[in-house]
Amino acid sequence: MTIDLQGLVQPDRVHKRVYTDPAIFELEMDRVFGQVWIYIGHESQVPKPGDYFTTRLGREPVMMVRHADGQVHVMFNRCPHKGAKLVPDGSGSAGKFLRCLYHGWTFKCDGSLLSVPLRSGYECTALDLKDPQYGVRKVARVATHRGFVFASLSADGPKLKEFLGGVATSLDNFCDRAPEGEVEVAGGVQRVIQRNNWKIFFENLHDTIHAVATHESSWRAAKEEHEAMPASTPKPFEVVIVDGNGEPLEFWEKLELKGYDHGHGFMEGIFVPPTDPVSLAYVASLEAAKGAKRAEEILRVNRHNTIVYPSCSPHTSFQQIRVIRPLSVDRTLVEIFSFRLKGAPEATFQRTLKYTNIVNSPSSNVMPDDLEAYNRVQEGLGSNGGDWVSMHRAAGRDQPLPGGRGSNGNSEMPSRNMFAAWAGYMGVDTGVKTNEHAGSAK
Amino acid sequence: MNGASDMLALVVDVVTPLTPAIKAFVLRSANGEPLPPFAPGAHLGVQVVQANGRTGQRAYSLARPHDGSGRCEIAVLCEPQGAGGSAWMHALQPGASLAAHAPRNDFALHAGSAPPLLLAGGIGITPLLCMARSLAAEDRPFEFVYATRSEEATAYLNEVRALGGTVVHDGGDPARGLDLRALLAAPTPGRHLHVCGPRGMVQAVVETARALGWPDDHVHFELFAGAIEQAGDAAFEVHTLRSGKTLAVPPGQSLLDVLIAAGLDPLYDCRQGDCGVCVVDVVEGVPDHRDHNLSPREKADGKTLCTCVSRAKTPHLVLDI
Repeated sequence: MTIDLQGLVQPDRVHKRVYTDPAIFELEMDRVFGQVWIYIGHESQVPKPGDYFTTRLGREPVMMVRHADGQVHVMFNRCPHKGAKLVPDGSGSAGKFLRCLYHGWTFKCDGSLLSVPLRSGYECTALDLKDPQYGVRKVARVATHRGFVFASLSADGPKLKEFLGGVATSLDNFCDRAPEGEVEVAGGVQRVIQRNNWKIFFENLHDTIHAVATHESSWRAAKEEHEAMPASTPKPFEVVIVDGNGEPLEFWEKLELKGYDHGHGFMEGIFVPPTDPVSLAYVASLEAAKGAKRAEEILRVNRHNTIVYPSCSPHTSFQQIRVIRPLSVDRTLVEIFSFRLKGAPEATFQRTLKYTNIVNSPSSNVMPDDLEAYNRVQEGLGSNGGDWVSMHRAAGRDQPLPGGRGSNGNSEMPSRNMFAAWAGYMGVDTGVKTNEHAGSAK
Repeated sequence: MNGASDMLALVVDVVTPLTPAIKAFVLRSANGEPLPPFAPGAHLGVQVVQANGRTGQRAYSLARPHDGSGRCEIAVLCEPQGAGGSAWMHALQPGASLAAHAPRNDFALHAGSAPPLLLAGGIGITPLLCMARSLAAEDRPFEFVYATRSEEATAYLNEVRALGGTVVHDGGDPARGLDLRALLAAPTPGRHLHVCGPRGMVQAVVETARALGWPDDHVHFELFAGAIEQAGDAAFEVHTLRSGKTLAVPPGQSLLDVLIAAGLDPLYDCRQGDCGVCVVDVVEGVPDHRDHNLSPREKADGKTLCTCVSRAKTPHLVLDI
């Protein structure tokens, strides 16, 4: 079946089918998730040889495994014998080798075949155990940036650093904030299956003006809670991170949004660096390790959500990464990983967990507001009440930047930027000259 | 190294019963020449005759340091259920002749910069007694602990006590044995641990040392062949090419277990010759295949072997591990 995508993406609006058509979703799996660099996980999730972590790369079940020599491999989670997934979903240690639970074929942790039972049965058959096809298949490319592991199903394409472009600095700052310059995943993972297309979640990450409306119940409750406290009570951290959503639209207007090639971008920090004891102790630990000048440089890079399109969203100042895995056209798995800054006080990590629990957890007072909105969008788009989704706000006012574009905080530039990249990957003519795209243009 | 060139012709000089099951043998060179020099921890590869009439080789540690003479001392535990080598030894009378490979040392003494710790279990006393005697002769300090089943079963009891050693009897109950954690304590630089005894004890000591943070190069051990021999199974020697170890595989103990006990960390899974995970490359010697994994052609080639079940048809195997 040929799918006509032409005309579905215009510079300031997109057709609802990009969110609702299962055939387009399948094409995305080939043309976007089957091509680009996808965030797999962090090296600290497989600290020792034999450790594994499973995830999805587009449609593909894959596993990240650390080999005896310390190298991290990303391979298809599939036994070459009968096709069974070699390791169970999740994470753990396979020991010195991977053993399929079905017939006991064994593989070294770099995927090469170690041994098969009844080797004598394969004598004089067409199956040659030395043939690499009887090892676990590796994905086409794997690369890391500061311990963050990315993989691509395509042998061709830009190198990771080039792909990350302007958001590589977010991953750098994520690590630089650690007194030891390294981070590690800690505290488990929160998983949410959202009833919406994956792109709706990405657009919301830089959608500033939804906050005051969507999150009114939680930010207003937080404000009232603080007002009920004795007059000079400093605003507790828990209130700061919730009532920020109630900032008036002019507050967001002044923020800066950056959009980069390949759909990436980040939002300037919305939280003023706090001066409470936990924050001050953390700053002191960073200054002790790096010196006051360098610490100040690091902390000056204050960003809210970063978008690494189309697979993850790091939050550099609260040490969290949300990983986005499309499951079907209207189902999206979001996994929330918290990170520990190596060398920082334990209270800093507790604050990271607090941010995850209070703002981004599905059982918080904030995230369910978003989930409700996403689901309403998905269901509304499925109706015959209209065909188009607007991205007009502040269209035509973007400021060119090296490798991308900038805008004020209330612009829908990020959505336009992501769709420009999407159109490039999908082969959709947007009617705009190629060099005006923020997406795949070169 | 193992050809006829290093064979020594020896004569039994003195036989001394040490316990009901252990005899000490003083051997002397048949031609009266001094023995080749050896250091504490060395063993003699004595040729014995087994109950089935075949010759075999037994490794017996030397219990007394080399004194420049043509004499040396070994001690032999008689294992009535074995293949007959130790019983043959026990039947030897003064004046009897025997042949042995020149002494080899896989268990050298590391005196280090701190007093070494010497740990013996049962007949594993011989190399450690040799080390203790050598250190005492040089007036160097050491710690010496010797565990046996009972006082009656203790060879060299007075010698060990005279050297300042502590003797512990566990009555056959390991729970009453040594408090290894207290004994080993935290590692200190230059303090080397030496242990020889039954497999379970050596394993427990090595594991405890690792758990306490001892670096592997400060832990030295040797197993003695205390296992029950299976009828027809002969001991053999294995040399590991890449890791440079020469190990004795006694009857009743698998090659895999010997590799594990020697700290080689080999890959294995099923332990019954099915999975093929433990297969290694054979460089020299003829494997005695007992697995269900390798193909008939691979078995005939003899270039690979399953360490978990297979043994050797030749006295010596060289493996590419």
